[in-house]
Amino acid sequence: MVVWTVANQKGGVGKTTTTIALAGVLAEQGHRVLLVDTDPHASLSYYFGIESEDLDLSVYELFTQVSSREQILQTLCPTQYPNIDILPATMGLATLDRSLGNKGGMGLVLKKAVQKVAESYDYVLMDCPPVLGVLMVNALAAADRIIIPVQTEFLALKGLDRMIKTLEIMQGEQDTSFKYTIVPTMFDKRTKASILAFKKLQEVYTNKIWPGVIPIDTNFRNASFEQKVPSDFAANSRGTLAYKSLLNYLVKQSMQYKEVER
Amino acid sequence: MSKSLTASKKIMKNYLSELLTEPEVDVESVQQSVVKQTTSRPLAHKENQSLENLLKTVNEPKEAKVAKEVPVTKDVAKEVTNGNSSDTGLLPTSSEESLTAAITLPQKGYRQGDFQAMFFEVAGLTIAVPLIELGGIHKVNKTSSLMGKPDWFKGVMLYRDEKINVVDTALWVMPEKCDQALKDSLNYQYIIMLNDSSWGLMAEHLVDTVVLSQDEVKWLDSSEKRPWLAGLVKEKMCALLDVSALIELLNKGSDINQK
Repeated sequence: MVVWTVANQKGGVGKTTTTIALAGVLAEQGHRVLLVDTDPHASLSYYFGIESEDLDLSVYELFTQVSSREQILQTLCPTQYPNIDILPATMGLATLDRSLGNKGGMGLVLKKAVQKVAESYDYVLMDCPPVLGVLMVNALAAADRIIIPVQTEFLALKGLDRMIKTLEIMQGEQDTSFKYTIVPTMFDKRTKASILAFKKLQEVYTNKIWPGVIPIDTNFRNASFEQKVPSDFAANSRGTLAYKSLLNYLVKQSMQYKEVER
Repeated sequence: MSKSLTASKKIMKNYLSELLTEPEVDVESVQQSVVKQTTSRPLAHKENQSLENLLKTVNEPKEAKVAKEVPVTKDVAKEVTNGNSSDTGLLPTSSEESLTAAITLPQKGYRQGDFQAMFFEVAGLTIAVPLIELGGIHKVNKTSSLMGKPDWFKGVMLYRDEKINVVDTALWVMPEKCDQALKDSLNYQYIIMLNDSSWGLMAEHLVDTVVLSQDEVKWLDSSEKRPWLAGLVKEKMCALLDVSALIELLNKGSDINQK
């Protein structure tokens, strides 16, 4: 099982879209995918038509009660895609930072939870809230690789800087170093700002950035309206093709690291 | 590296170290007692502050504002703009209410910098509560009513051996508007726990959590008329609860009119 966490402390950079698009392509390739929604806004859950506030169990319960493998499996919601399941979020998650504060070890709850269902999935994709707190720390700590979508505009670069600093500090607290990939999103080749921001990203984060870009594509919005993953809604759209290319890159990167670790 | 940056890094390091280090006590026992522990912690204690608040104290630059547009029910907006809200007692009649008294009051955790608030709806009315004073959210379950209690006291609900005093929010907030038709139409689904108390407000819908800046709220510190009203969220034109004052009123058995 491989765990990828999609994170950025800045909102609106394409975290949920990236999570869904990658999940769609992975499922299409026959992989079993588990999505974990750690954002109290529950956008990922709503995307798949899950009214999370109506559910009895969600990610929230993983933090507030002891969960066995069976209980975690009960918490999972199926989606319309047989290969994609989701651990849904609820708004109650917004209270976790207050109720858990900085209690020792609470940053490892999600890591332990997904390990319990490791046999059932090939890939786990975690969607993070745009706030650094107990939920994001959990998602980062569980990750084999962190995917950082960055909107190709200058304001987003500042947010990225902060995210990288967070990872560096966290790295000091963990035994292993974080592997992360920066993914330029919402790239609009018609605007100078997009091009300049992309060049700046390449210049500053040379080895950490995916060499491609995710272009702006109205198919993403239309796919969400239809509650379909982009690869199902518009298989040959430029957005889908970009995510397929990103996935190939990420898989290759993971394999390279495995080779090195051997 | 500047002093503030070093301080920020240190706080972050401590916070992450706490979260990512296995404690001697099993985490799972912490998970089991999360709800209980929140009730025993002192109000606005430093430990209760979220990382975001801690970072603000070291001059962390401001970031995201409203995460998602919060819909305001038309009726409430109309009432507010028409100035007809006084009959519900929700909005202030004067903006000058006891402003000076605020200086003498202890500063609340959310009165500095940006803070998060959760919006919920009751009978078409949107109400906000500062997240730092939100004790938790539970699904509505069976309540046992008690004799001799006010109408707004829905009863006691058991949640994991804990007794929650459940408030019928519509009856508390707008008793004069609560006719039988309104009561019948209410579809309470959640209990919004007030800070560390055993009081919980019934809510029909959870709307959203939003980051608010100080400027986005018209503050009404120490309003003697409406102590339960911390202020008014300007854009949404809805009440922001002063949770500790509200708890005090509920403990006294007082309704919104302090009767």
